[in-house]
Amino acid sequence: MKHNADADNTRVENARAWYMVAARSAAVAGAFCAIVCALLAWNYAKFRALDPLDSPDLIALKAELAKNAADYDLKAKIREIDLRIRQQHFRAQRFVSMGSWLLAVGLGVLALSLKYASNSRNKLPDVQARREDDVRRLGALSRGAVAVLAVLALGAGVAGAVAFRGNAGKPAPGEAPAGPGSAGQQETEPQKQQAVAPDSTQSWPRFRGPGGLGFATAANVPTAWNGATGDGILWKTPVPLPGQNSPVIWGNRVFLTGADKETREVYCFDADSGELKWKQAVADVPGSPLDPPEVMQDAGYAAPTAAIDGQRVFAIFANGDLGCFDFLGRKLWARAFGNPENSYGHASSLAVYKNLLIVQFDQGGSADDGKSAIKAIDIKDGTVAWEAARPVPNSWTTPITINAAGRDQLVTAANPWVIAYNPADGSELWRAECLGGEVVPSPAFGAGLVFVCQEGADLFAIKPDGQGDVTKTHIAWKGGDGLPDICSPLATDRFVFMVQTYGMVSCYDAPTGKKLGEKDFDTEFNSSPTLVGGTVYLLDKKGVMHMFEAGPEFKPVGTAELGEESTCCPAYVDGRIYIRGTQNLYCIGARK
Amino acid sequence: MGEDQRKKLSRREFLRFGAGAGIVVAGGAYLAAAHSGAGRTVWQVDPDKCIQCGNCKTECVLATSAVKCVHAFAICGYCELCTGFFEPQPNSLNEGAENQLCPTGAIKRSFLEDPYYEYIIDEDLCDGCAKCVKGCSSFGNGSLFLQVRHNLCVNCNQCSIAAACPSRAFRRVPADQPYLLKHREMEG
Amino acid sequence: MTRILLTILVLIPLWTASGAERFPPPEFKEGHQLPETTTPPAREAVLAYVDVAVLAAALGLAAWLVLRRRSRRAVFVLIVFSLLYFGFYRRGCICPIGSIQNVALAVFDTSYAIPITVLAFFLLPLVFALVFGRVFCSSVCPLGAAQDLVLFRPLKVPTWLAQALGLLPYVYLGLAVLLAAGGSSFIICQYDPFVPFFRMSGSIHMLIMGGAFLVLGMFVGRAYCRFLCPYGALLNLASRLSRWRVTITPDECIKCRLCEEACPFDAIRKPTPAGVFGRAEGKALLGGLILLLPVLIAAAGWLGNMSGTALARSNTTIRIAELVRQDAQRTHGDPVNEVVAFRKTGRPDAELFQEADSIRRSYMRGGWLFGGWVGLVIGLKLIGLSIRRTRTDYEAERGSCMACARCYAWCPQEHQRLKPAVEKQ
Repeated sequence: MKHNADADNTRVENARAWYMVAARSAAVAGAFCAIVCALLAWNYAKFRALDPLDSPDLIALKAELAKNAADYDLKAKIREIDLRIRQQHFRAQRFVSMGSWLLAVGLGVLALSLKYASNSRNKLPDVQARREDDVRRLGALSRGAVAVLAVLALGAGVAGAVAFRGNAGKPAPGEAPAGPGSAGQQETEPQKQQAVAPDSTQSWPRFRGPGGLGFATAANVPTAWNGATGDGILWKTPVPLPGQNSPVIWGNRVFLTGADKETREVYCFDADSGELKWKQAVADVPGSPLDPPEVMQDAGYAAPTAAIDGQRVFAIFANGDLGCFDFLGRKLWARAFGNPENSYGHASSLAVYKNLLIVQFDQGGSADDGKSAIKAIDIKDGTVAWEAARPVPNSWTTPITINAAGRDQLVTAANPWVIAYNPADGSELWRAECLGGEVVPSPAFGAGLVFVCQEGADLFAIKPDGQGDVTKTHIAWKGGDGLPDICSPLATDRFVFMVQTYGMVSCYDAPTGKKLGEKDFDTEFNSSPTLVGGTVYLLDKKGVMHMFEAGPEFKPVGTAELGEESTCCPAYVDGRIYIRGTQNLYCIGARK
Repeated sequence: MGEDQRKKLSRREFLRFGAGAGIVVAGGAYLAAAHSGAGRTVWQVDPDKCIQCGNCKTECVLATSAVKCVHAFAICGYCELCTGFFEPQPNSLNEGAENQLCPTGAIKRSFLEDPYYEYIIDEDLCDGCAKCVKGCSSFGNGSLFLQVRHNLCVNCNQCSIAAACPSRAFRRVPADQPYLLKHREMEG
Repeated sequence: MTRILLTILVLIPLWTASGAERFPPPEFKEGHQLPETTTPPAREAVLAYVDVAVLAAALGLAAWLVLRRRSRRAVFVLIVFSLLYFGFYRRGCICPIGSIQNVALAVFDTSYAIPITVLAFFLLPLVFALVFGRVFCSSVCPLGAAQDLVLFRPLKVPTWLAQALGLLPYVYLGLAVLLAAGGSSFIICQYDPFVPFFRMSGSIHMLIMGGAFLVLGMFVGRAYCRFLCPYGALLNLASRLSRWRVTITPDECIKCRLCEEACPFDAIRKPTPAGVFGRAEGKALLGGLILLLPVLIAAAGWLGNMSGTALARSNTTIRIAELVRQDAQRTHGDPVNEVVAFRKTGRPDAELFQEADSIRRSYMRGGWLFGGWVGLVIGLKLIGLSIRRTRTDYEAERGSCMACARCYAWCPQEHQRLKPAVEKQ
């Protein structure tokens, strides 16, 4: 008996000893876990809550370095800080990793020792001290509690459903209802725009109008105005930055671009009031060149005219930056092609063909440089859909889009090749070797012939139904008098007009090439002529519009002064003319 | 309790058990037959859909994201001015910290031969922020792209990056072909 | 020099007619070998089957240990093993709790095929519960293991509170199935409080929530299991039909009352005292609740339908559609990433809005089912609380008993069973 009692005592002693061990380890483990937790929390607050890699100091220093590029001390400082930041970042990561393991082990030890300690301390159940349950009351209480929770839960559900309804999934006002009939429609705002300008008399979507041919189908185009007195001028608004590009119109919006060495902007004016609705910079384009391009004063930084596809406006600048905005001024995409090697400055305007934006990017001093290309950009996201290398040096022409010989053609002119592409995929249709020198006048199309000309070469009429190299086979005629160096020709069914910079305008018979007449206007022309109805509108550098009947007699219809110098090509829509002067944008016409 | 009652209960219980078992077995068989696939799936990024938003770095449940940038060397142009390596307006074309785009310095640049430079990613340093991917895709060949690394990914039931991806570029792929790599387009 | 380099190198000629790379592939002089893009493989497929085998083995072992061997100590060792294997080694994923969502998705989304291993994870614990009771909960589930390990001073949750909170697992189950089936999100995985510990990483909110649950678990036994776990709701139902079950006493119950407070999870039911209900009252209450049931289901179903729109907003397609709509009002700045990505696909807006609308309507239909389910659960719970079951012994309630084997040590019959073995020594 005594032996058993002794054994029991030892057992109790042992148990007590083990309990103390367990309790103490629990305390130690608990303290350990608390310390590790605190350290992890401190590490989180210091290094992880705000990612050190996004350090504002570093960003500020880098911005400073951009201004003082050669500051070596600054560079050294940046490198030092960057190294420190990165070391901190990875050290903090390792800290967390190790801390988590330590915490896991600590928690494990804590849990096990607490378990052992509490198990050793189990007391015998004390039955007498317990009360009898009132089962009925318990049941009623439980039912009540369930009912209360149910009501609360359902109430919370209702409240949440109402609060988080969002727009209840119903279409926004003005939007097409989501039903079977609405497939294929786009966003609402541009839809409204489209509704305003469904046909070409309300729009002038690119340089020299639809297709780039210099034809205006608008009606009631004014024939008289006076910029100095304000007669016939609906409004005049200053344009923030200068540019050689011409206005483009869609419905009640007029778009221009302007740039200087550092800034490139797109402007949107209200066509009826002239108010500048928005201006957006084409900036932060990845790949945009560091240095501004080298351009001549004449060309400037924003020579190419913008283009519109009905929902978006596209603009390209002398440094190869291309931007796309919607009509509300929201940037959709932008990309950079880099500074083109262009002796005057990039001037080829943009053109839109279906869902492609055509960018003629000719550069290089000689054709062998092999740098020129024509690209088709997907208007949705700015990716290149196709591109074709061009065997030409830099040029300043803009491609025209025509339908001839049963197919859509994209006709380009440069030295020496005039090349027609299939605009859908960039494959060459035909090419003719005829031009020379610095080609600035863009092609024209009339009487079924493509006309290209260049001072130093000739005026060529090319039949567009050829295939491959048509130099020897498809040049219908050529003429040598009155060749322009800047202005693009105008071709109608019967006549071709060429405008020389110093004022001489020549008229040829389009089908045969016979020179029919000429007139010296004794003024300076930088702008290309446009056919409006049967009248040719030609703007001179002083801002005077010369209007004459399209014919070899040059029968005058009138002249009108803008009161400001201008080098752009005006835009013509129903009842209105929009002219960009060197400082201001003018709207000529009557209130609608 | 009487033996009979116990037996009766046991029979009733057995019937209930049978009913329950029947439901479970039938349900399991239906699911297995009609809706089950052969193998396990894992998560992967489709590089063509990725818009390089930076969520891969922040949304992964792991402390350091399992999504890393990988390099398709066959597509790389080996350019001196790599727009995935250099900041948009680099001060100069060297590996100085002021010129590099990668915040952790995970891209290593080495001169191969004139004018080619090789760019290799140190995956231990990469955190999947996609800055280099954005630079390379916008102006370069797009040879840098993000991929989920399966030696790191814990293959959550629902990938939290997948849920947050704005272009829904994540999808489940078979575990034995767990990568969606970019390859050079064949010129045709 | 730099500028020339920049100008030249940035304008490398582009000869391709199709939209291929901007910069052509380099031609190396000395035949440089292009490095390969490494592709570290995912976890071996066979290991997933090993996991299923381990699960089955653990379940079988748990059943044997709890029902045959009746040893708490052995169950404890199995708990530690399960925590280490399913918790820390497998990082808590895939777990049977989350597999509910996979099954829901597989049923409603034809493009998702549930892997056999995931299906096995879903079915095995259910099958075992059907036969042996909640042995999964006892020692195989890593979340249960974690909670079981930290419990050291269990407080009694008042019965009325426990009953009320006992509704939540069913509601959570319904909600999880609805959101998973609609392809929105796996909320069970998103709001799992313990998985950040298993992964040893997570957002700060998840870690704090997990920590809170652990601290709570020290005093309230298995709070997640009893009041939240959606799989527990299924196991509860399956366990009620089980063929074998946990019995506190290995032999006959002598109603010594010693085990009344043995269960930290309040699963022990007492024998019914005599003459509790007046028959009239009992019948009237029961009748009323039975009549209330269809009304409750209909009402809750209607509320669920109303909340369908709000619930649908968790769906990614709907979220993108909302952002695209909001973008129409944007006046400055850049579009958000989702809108940029969507515009890149070239899909017309109307198509997106149509798709979003049809998803929203399917959520409203799902809302009927979800609401009806919640109504059904509430109604049945109330009915269940009004039915008196006759008990003559102290029993573990089959639905809520976690088979943790703690109560055995409180029963004198158990000590009687073990005694001969002790005395032999």
